[in-house]
Amino acid sequence: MIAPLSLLLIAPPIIAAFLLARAAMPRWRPAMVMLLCAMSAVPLAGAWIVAAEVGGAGPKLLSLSAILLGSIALVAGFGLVERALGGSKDDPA
Amino acid sequence: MTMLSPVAMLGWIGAVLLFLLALRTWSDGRAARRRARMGLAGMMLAMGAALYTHDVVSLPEMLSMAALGSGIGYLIARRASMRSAWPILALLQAMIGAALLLTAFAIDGNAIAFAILTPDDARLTGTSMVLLGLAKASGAIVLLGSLLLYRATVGARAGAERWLALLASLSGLGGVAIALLLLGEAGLAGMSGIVGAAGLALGLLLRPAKAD
Repeated sequence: MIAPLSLLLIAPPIIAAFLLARAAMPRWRPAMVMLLCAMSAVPLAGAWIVAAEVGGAGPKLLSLSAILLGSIALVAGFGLVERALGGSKDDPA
Repeated sequence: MTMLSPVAMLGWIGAVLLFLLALRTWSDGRAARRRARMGLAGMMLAMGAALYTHDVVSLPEMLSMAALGSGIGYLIARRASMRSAWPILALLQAMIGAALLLTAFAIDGNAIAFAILTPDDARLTGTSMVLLGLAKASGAIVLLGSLLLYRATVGARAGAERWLALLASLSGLGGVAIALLLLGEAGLAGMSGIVGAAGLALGLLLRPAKAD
């Protein structure tokens, strides 16, 4: 488990994220939601840790499947954000 | 608590800072693109830090799955019509929910590897049971909610942003539960918490669509 001191250390960034998202300009909010959808693939890092540590065929297969699904969501999510913000040369701005 | 190496600690701190910078005020399109890339860089740094701190025995399988997933994701991002971006995002959110659920079941299936059992290794500790239940519940709600949202958004975008923000927030909450279950992963908990808090803030800000 995480020590209470670590929990105290992670609280400020979480509060800052809440305040930053609240301060977003209305015209950028939908794009920010798209980015947040891509960023919400963060449990993928957890899947990497689990796949690295876990033993047994069943749990290993489950964690590898989680990596597959998380990677699809991560790359497709950030790719869609890039296109929505006009960053891809293939799309009209 | 296990002591994190300085390199890994710097990696996690950098990843958290990049996530926060990604959410900083978006003034124009160029700034928005730069911020989005910071978010991606934060994710990459988090993966690197996660791998650096653990003895990986099945790296070829993990990298193969990540490469396959990245390839499929790239094709989706490149070929999808931007008019159907919201339904696709709902489907991607469903995948994140499924990944969360699978990760929680993998931990449950080999709990002895994660020091979350009682001293006699007979059963999960009370806290672990709650956290594992929270991770499973978050994953299941995100999966089902996203599939329902996909059905609702095909052809109509109304309200999709709000629900997607709230589902992303729930994914963040599930990520926090997974991070707390895994020994000493404060960095991952912080990053998941950032996603959870920002999703909640945006979900509360965006108004529900009015019926015409």
